[in-house]
Amino acid sequence: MSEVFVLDEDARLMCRVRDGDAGAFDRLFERWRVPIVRFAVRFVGRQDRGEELAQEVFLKLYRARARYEPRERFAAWIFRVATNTCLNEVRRPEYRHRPVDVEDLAQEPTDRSRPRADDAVHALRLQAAVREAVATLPDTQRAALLLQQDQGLSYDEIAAALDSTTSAVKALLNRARRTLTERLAPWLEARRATEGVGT
Amino acid sequence: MSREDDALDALLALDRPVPTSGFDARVRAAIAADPALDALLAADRPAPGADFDARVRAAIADEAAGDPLDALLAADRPIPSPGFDARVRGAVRAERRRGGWIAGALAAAAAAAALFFVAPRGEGDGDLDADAALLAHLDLLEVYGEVEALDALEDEETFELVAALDDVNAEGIP
Repeated sequence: MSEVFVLDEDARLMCRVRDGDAGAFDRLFERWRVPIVRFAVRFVGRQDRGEELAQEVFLKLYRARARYEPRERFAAWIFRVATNTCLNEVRRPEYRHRPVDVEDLAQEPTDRSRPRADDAVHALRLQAAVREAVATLPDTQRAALLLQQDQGLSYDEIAAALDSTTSAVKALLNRARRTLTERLAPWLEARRATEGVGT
Repeated sequence: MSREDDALDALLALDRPVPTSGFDARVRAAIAADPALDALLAADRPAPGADFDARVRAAIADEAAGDPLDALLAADRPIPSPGFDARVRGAVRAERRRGGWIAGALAAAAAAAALFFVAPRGEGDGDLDADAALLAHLDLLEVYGEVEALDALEDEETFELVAALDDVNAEGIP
């Protein structure tokens, strides 16, 4: 018995883009601009190049509109395009990872209860350390981690995005988290000490 | 065994008493009420250690807080910079125009080619100058990928820009 796929709202919007509705594309862009930029920036570790890649993703979506057939969640489809775009970038022979620069960080303001200057510096250093640790993971581990952690994709959807298997994705995530736990150990210890979490 | 032993066993087998119906209950009651037994059982009354409460609270807090690595990873949440939206919308508008422009340009090129081969040239024919410019760069019109970043090819200066596309960045800006 074949699986029945129920269109999500974004897939319906994309169908309208396919049918010529320019306003539908604007709405999709509004809904997905932050998640796609966030994924691409964290993948390559740089705001400027991440945004260029994100722009490419939206252009690819627009160019592919005539051929769009909803066979999966829209989130899974757009992140498959984003993953391929970012993987192609880092697999170019001339690509070189550039260490994260604190000056380069553009952050979503989340914690307005800590206005002190040293807290802001601490937050930036933490953000830079996290971004660097993630950006230097092996490519497929990084992709799997960001897709799961930021975007909430299922194991199956991550496997589809990486053209892999569910069990391989689980192994990638396990390795990624172990590596990050080692690299971010000082920050994790500091967090536990200040918040009194765990033993 | 001798025949006398067999006889004795048979005789003894005649007397095999069993507990009466109340026996079990009486024994259980006796055990339960046994003060000595009570004292013995009271010798083992373990109590939570001094740090038990703190450990339970910490474990519950850990559970509520989730994986500390996830919390740390959430510290990096980049957002689009101020010019991002405008760049993407501009690029998509260019795509839309290109889709209509390519069809028009090819039609214009075909018409200009017909004009070139059919109409006699004369001095002061300004329209043919523009057509000649278009014809001189027909090779660029044929190469789809080279024009995708631009709105339209309208003059010689723009043709020169298209010819130098290698130096143009992804946003169509030199």
